[in-house]
Amino acid sequence: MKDALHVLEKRDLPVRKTIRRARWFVAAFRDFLGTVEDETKRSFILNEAHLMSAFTAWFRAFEAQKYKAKEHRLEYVTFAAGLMLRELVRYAPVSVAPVASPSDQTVPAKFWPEGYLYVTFCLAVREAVIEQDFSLVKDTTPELADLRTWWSFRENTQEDIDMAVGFFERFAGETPNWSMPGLFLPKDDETRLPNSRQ
Amino acid sequence: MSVPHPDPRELELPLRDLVRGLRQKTSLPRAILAPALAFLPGPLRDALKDMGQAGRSSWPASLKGRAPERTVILRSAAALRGADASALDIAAAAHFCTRVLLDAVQKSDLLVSETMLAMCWHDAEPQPFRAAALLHALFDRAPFGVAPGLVQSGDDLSSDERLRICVAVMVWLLADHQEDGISEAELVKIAGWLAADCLAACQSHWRDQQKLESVLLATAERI
Repeated sequence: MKDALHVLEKRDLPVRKTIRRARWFVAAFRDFLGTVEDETKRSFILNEAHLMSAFTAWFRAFEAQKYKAKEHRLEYVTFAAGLMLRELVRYAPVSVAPVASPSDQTVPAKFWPEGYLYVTFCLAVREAVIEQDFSLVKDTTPELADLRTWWSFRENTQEDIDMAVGFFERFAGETPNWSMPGLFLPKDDETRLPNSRQ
Repeated sequence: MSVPHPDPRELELPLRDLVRGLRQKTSLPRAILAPALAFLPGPLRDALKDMGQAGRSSWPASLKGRAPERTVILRSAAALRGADASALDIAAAAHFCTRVLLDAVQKSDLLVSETMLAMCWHDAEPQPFRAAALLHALFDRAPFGVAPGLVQSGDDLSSDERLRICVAVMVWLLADHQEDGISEAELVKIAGWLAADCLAACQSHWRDQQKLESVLLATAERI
């Protein structure tokens, strides 16, 4: 899916910077939406004002915790993409056009098309940054196709929007921080946390 | 008898604004316009009748809100960072941006005065923080809104909405305008959204031009 983000990769800047510019974020999201429409055979309706609200909220959240990323850049890429998912779910910039007959809901893309779009977009951004900055290829996990995880993802984020970050980490094959998913805790810091609280 | 009249682009700024304001009203029913037209000198009356009959599509870009030439935008952007610039460039660029933002909030019928925009630039040019100073001038001089003495179908803008548009103009002018396939109208739309996001920061630093300019520059970098 990362290939659908070519608009981010044509620039002079690295992807981790282009995605933080509103013009490229919007352009990349629009392109990606078209790709997912082709894949799912469903039509999406994009509310650009909501998309921009998601972008600005994500940008603020990203900047607020960036200082902790200095020695944990790779982990922060996944966390930041999780924050992006959180804001996309919160502001819900996309709605799916109704279809005449109910479709098969046994696959995530049909079960929750908007959620599928948000998750795959954020995974693609993460993958593009990791590949460019760290020369790594990170495969997604079987969780991405597991409908039970998607049920849980949808229900839990309705109750606590921060859970979107944890679910994203799970989709990305990382170990989620379920206790405080909206807080960036690098793994070594996370293990020290109980002591530091004393 | 109809008389030849000049291309509106060739008029001096105040006359251009006058024609623009009058042109906005020529779409009103003839019954409303006729008594007013009777008071005008013959040549101006004929010119207005001609304009009323011409479709909006025949109007030049500078009067309708199409993007000015890229060099005009680039010179305006550079001027905010200290370069020399003509008030005409700033007025043309800011006029285009304001027009797009007003259209986006369904306020297309409000008048945007290039003359006032040029005066705003004259206020800001000698000051150390030009972008912040221009923002102050845009807000104080109100270069867009209901034209004085004219019938208006809708309400004027609220103070917050007016400020958001002024901030958006500044953020757009300060943005990166390299040719990258994204249209200037699209960048203006983004500036409008980001302006809403930084409005509170602008209001809290309103009296500190250095900090205000920092907010504008930081927001422009996000476009």
